[in-house]
Amino acid sequence: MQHEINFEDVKPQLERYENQLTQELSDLVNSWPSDLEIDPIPRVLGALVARHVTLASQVVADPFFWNPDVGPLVLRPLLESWLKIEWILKSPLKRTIGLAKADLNGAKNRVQELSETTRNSYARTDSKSLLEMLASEENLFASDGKPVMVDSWKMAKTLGGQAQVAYRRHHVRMSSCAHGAWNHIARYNLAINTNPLHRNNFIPVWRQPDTDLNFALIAADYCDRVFQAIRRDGRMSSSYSELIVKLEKLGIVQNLPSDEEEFGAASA
Amino acid sequence: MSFEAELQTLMDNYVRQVRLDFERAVSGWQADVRLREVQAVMGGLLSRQCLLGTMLVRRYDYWENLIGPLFLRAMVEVTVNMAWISIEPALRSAKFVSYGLGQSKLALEHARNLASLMEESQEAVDAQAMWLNVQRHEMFTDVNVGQWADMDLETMANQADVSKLYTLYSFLGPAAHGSWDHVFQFFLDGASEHERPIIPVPRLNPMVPYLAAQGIDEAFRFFRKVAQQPHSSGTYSSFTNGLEDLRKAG
Repeated sequence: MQHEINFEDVKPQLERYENQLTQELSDLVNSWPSDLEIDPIPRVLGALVARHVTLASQVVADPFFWNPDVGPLVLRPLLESWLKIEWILKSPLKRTIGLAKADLNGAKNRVQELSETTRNSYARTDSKSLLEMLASEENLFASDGKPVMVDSWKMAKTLGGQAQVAYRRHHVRMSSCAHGAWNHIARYNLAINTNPLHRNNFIPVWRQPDTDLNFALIAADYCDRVFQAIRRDGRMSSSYSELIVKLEKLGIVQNLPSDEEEFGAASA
Repeated sequence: MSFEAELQTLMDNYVRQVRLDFERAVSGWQADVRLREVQAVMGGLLSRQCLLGTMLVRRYDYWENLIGPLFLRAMVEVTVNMAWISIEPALRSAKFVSYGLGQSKLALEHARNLASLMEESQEAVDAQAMWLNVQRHEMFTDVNVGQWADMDLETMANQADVSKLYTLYSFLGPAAHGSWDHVFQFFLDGASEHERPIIPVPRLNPMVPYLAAQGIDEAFRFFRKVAQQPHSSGTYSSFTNGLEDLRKAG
């Protein structure tokens, strides 16, 4: 369902949401469940949640992202970030160490490769300091844990429920946007030529993106899922529920699908 | 004129010029029914690249390391795709279209499964099915869950002689995937003893507008190669020279 609106009508609600979200991040970090306080879980999980909140705030507060042309460029990382955080929570110690180790290994290889292939002395110096920083970070994870690499689909499948529904509902379209695939460009960068002699071919167009509040709502929803997963209380965050109530009062949001409907769809 | 006003003028002029270049390039390639797919794919990718690049250039608050890389990574992929297609346009454009239609069928199947429990989205599912079926009946559409070119982007970049672009692509990856080497640098307060998680204040990355403009210029180069039009980097040079002048003055 497309929600075309005037940004000025919802700006105060969105600004309030953004401020509340920052406060909720701080409250959450100050009150981790006790089993998440084992080193290095709060550091890794805290930073991942901070990134999640940062990206969600950007999409919610800026209509620049409320369109199918660029919105998915941020929503896809947000979806993957939600899956990653919820997946880590199933086995926090093993998975925080495993993911961090795998990422740091990948980064080291990338930087080393660049430093070997480049002739530019500035790039070499830069690579050296980056490698030192990565090595120092790696020392923090010098326990027995093995590197872990899992793709988003596997995470979604393992998690089931809402995470799997969101993946099935949005991931293909978001990926098509991020990768500039035919099913994206044919919809948004081409138009059908009405000249019958040209056999209805596609012609490239220069157009301004449409605005659709739905992209902001999806970002807010993904953000809320992460808060729910960490608090394990199954309740909407106050910032998110307040935003939805206000938008409903303005007549902008109506009949959002309930969790039961979506959850039921997961097993279909 | 203030620095901001000069920057705004430079950006506006650049976007206007890119649009003119786009319209000239597209209208200068006469429609040819034998090249339907090639023209649609190369033209669509060029349009996508211009849209992403000009949107990013216009928003200097996103010339940073959190949002900027998400745009640039998508743009690099468009360039590598265009470069690789330009080597064998007819065959590779057809492959690009087939893969995209397969993805559309996959999304449609997911939507059908979800819609069986959510009545309100049935209309959207029907529209999605129609979009696919007017191009190729879904019964004859294969779903390829691998890579569209049957090889990874690095191999494509090497084959198309744009391997440097793949190096750039790999460095933009951590911001898109939220890998730990990106996250610990930007979302922990390194200044505090306990490294608390933070919402960072984005730091300017001056390379972003240069890379965006370069992506647009490269897309024009490969489009014009296939359309057999002469290429000029005048728009790119004039924008980057303008940025340099502003940098020296500022």
